[in-house]
Amino acid sequence: MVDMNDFKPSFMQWLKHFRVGLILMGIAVAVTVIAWVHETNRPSDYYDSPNTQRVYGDQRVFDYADQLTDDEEARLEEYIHETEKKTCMDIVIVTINQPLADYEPEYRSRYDIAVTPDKYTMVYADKFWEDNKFGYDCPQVLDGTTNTGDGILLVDNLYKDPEVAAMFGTSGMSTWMCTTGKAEEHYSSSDIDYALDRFYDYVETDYYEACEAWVRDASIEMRIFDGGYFIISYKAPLLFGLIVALIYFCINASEKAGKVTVDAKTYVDGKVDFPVNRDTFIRKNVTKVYNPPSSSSGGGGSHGGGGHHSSGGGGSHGGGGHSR
Amino acid sequence: MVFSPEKQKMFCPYCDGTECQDVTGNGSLTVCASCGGELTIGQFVSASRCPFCNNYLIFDERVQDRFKPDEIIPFKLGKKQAVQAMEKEFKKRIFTPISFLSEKSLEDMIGRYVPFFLYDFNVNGHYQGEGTKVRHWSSGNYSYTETSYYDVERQMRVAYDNIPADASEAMPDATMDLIEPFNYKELKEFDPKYLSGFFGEIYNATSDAYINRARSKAAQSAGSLMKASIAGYSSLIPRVDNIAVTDGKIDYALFPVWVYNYKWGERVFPFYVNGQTGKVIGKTPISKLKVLLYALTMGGIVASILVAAFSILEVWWWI
Repeated sequence: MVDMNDFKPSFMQWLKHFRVGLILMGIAVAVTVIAWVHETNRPSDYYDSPNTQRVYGDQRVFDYADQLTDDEEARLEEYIHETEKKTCMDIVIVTINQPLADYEPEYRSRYDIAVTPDKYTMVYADKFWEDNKFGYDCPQVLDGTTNTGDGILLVDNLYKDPEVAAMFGTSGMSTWMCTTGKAEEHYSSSDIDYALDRFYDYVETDYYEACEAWVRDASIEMRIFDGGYFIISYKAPLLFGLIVALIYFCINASEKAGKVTVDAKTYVDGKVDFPVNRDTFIRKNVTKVYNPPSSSSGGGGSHGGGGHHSSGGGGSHGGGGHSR
Repeated sequence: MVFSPEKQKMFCPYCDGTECQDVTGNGSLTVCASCGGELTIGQFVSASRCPFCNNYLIFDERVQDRFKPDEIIPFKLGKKQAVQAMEKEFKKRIFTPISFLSEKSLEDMIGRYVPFFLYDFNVNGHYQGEGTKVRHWSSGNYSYTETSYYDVERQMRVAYDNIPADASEAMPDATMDLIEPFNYKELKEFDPKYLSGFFGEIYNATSDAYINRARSKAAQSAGSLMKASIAGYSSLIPRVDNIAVTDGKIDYALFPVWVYNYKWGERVFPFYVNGQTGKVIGKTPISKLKVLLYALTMGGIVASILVAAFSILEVWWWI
């Protein structure tokens, strides 16, 4: 329907119609380019991990409780690998399904502090980190300072510990997030709560998504700026743009004869008269629903722990736990 | 002598004078008054043009007695203004191929008086039902929902004046609905002189053939006026919901419409211009390719702005 003679006037018509939009688009492209240049030239804090002592090498996902399929584990490893590059810290996920009371005596013997059952996962987590020599910069130096062994660890214990259940009124499963090195310095207790909440958002419905959400939160929380990692998601804007285009197309693709220019009152002679116009209140009822104090974990989980402590091995860790 | 919409007077196109003679057609349905040529006139035609001598003719017996319109809105827009109105409308039709817009020859437009019946109605509406209003709030650890119940009753009286329905089979109903409204302040008593220079048509059937169309317009309007009067409820359960329409006076009127049938390729595109208000009705072909390109441009603009916004967030805000 468009022949070549039409091309030039049609193009001019298009330019005129979208003059404002095209200017905005030009500005948007310029802004994006400036952002990209700015980001590319930003001095980088990125460095390759010099730690060669990790017991399990590149493995970060330890799915002992078998909550993930092999494929999901591979995807999660890949995602963690990318996030580690953006954050320069080790990110480790451990799932277990076992009572942990056995780990407690060692801790108590060293610090002479009784550990309550909800903190067993903490003891396990600290030990797991230290024994397996995690830490992006280097394995943690166990001198009680917070400047080595950068990384975070999530331990999800699916064992339903009756004592934990009794303490929190949950099913007794507990989850601990351990922070070490620069992560310990960076994360506040509420940051840890927030990260665990992201995990608990999905843990009952989609375990993989729960893990990814926890890692994603870390990637936002701990991201370092690096020229090689200017990643903006084009997917959402493109999808949105396509939806707009589709709606625009559907609205305009059909031939229209004209718009209706009469309304309900066009032919009304004089006034619309209401001899009876009555709204009589009859009754009302009020229903009252109890909302438990706001908890972003939603599933009635319990928050515990937080703050800094020393591990059974003598390293300093931050951490916090939830139970479900 | 023809009627000039610009001058609102009879006008002689040959001597440029106004009111110089008072000659209308001779009333014969078969012979042209000017040249004597034999004419075949359609069943509902009241004014036409002789195909031999191009003189306008009015057929007196079709504007008299039972065919005499009560009222008329004379043409207010001349052909030039109608052409301008169409060109202005065409400029807005951005998806129509440019060649369509440029190939038209609007000189072939003709002015037609379209027969309409104008119906008056009195409508009584009665509504009775239960309405609820819901309010939510929370206090402490409790959230509250309050539902209030109301007994709602309305009696509505509304009079409708001159709801039009076209009495011409040649004019599509939907198009005639779109070409409304006409400004009734300019309704004039019928005089055959207004017809000269235009094509005229008589009603194709009597008023009862079209009353249902007008009646449903009245009922529809009354329904929405009633609905508007009971706004503000979260839910409404009607017990009584009646609209009673009583018929009133019926007038027969002629309304002015410029008609242009545009043949483009295989298709015919009819256009109608309200001869009083200049409103243009008619479909123009749409180039799907053009719409697609515009849609993609639109989507591209939106997407690029979003990408820019995300970049700003990512680089300068998320630190």
